[in-house]
Amino acid sequence: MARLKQKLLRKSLRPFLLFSFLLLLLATPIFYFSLQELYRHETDEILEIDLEEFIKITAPILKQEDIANWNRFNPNVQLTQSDKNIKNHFFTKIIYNPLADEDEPFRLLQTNVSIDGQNYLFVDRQNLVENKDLFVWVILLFVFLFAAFIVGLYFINRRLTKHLWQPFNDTLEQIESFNINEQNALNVNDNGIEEFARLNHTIAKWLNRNADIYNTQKEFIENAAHELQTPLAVFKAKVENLMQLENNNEAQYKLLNELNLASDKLSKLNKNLLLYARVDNQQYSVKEGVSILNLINDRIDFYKEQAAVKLVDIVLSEETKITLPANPFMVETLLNNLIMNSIRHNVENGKIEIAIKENELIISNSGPDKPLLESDLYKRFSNNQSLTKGTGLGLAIVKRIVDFNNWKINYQFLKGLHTFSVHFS
Amino acid sequence: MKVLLIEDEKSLADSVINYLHTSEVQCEYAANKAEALDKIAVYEYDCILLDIMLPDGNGFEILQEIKRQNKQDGVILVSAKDGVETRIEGLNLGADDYLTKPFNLSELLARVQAVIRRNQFGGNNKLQFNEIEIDINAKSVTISKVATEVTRKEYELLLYLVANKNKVLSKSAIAEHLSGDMADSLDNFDFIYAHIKNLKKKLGTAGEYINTVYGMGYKWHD
Repeated sequence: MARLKQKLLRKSLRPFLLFSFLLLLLATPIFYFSLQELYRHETDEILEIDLEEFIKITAPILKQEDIANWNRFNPNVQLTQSDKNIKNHFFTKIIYNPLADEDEPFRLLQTNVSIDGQNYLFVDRQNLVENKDLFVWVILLFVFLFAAFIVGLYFINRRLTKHLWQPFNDTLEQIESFNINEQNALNVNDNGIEEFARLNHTIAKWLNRNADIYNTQKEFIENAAHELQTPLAVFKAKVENLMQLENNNEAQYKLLNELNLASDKLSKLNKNLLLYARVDNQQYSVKEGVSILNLINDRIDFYKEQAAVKLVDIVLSEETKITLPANPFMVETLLNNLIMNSIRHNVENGKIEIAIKENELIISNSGPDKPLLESDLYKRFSNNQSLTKGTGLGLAIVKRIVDFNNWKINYQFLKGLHTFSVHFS
Repeated sequence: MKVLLIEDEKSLADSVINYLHTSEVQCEYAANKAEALDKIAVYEYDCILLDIMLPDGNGFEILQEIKRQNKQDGVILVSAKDGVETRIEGLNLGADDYLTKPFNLSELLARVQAVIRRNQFGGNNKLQFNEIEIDINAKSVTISKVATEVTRKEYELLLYLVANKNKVLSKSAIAEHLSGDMADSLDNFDFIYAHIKNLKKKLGTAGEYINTVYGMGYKWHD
């Protein structure tokens, strides 16, 4: 669960962070250069204003003999006699500043002016140093704000995502723990989000439909099995009536015997179908302390008698006294089916070992020298059953009982022994 | 012995009547609740075979009526329902026994006889067949006044055979009878050979009453 949440969060955050980072990388130089350009432009304007002021106010009153003095007191606006024809030429130049004792960038404006009828070259300059310091600070501030913005968004997004997906995770958790036997309704919150409301609605509908199908199917099996009881009873009774006729001969008895076996098999099959359909019925949900050892001891004579026909030996190798909170009838059925199976599929002079451990029941038996196909093991009617063998429902019923109680069942083929172990949780 | 059979399935009822009739049991028949209540009010029966599901009512209602009228008739419930609850409810209401459909007719006859014996003979309950005497309470057997040791299974087998005298009993019916609650788990009836053989031996000359019927089963012949 936690991994999935992070995955989702990371997925949504990664492109977002990547975009922010690229934007920062790209925006910083652009921002820097445009700011610089803007500043140069501003400086040029100042130089232009200086020039305009000079032409309009200073130039008309300036005499030739004042030029030397002017140049002395205005280091930034120098006038030199020149024949060159230069008009409004702006440029940047590194000039040594004796005050700061370093080379500094200056913005200069050269243009021709006419003073006292004489042609002069007007050179105005503006120091760019202060502007550069300002740049650095502006850029630093910009980067800091941007970084704060990203970090903030990261955490907000993380919190928001977690919060937003909460109902989704709730729903997921409930679906994961959904048990068709219990059929508890979906109890979820959509946080008022339309998509989740839709999801929950659809899932609830789907689960309900599944439960309906399941119930209908169960009911059908139950009804069908029930309806079969009476005709079966009639059939069985008629065969028994036939058996009593005075002049039956050997061939007729043989036929009657087979009819009788078939009717027995039918009624057993029917009873098992009913049982299979009813495992999760209310009537078996009553739980009490069930002692496995007591149940086995009550029936061990019966099992031994059944096994003796095949000269199969039954050994109780471990007899831990455990009590399970379960329905006694269900546990009886589970034991019966497993033990009768171990007898049925055993070989002459074979053996059966039953071990009751602290939290586990292990039944192993000799039998055919190849493992059973585990995938088909608990399926209904998965192996071909002859008339005198089981109903093909025994292990399917066992599996249902195990599932219903949240136990686990395992099959292993080890050293020629087929071993079923039921873990009680 | 007079028995009332309350069963709506005519075909099944015919079979039961036919089987019981040849065992000297007089069997009357009611197809529904109304008929049944009429008969119960007027006649006394040794045993009533009562189907729980009837077209015009519930077998439990008839059972309650029998108890209300303080009738001493033995009651065996017969039902297609084999739920533990139904069984317990029936027995709590005062039924003497409970049988699930489909059943063996031989089993039904044995149960009818057991219920009647219990109801009528109480403390001194003995079953006599020629030289064989079976003491139901002591679960013991004497042959020509000589006590004969039999195992629990052999005793049950003997009682079952005698109850169904002159009837052909299938191996499966005998095996199911001897297995009681475990009958549904059976799929091999061969274990009864040993019991039959041992019982025959213990009965001595009386063992000759037991006849084999061509691979089908056994028959107690008088």
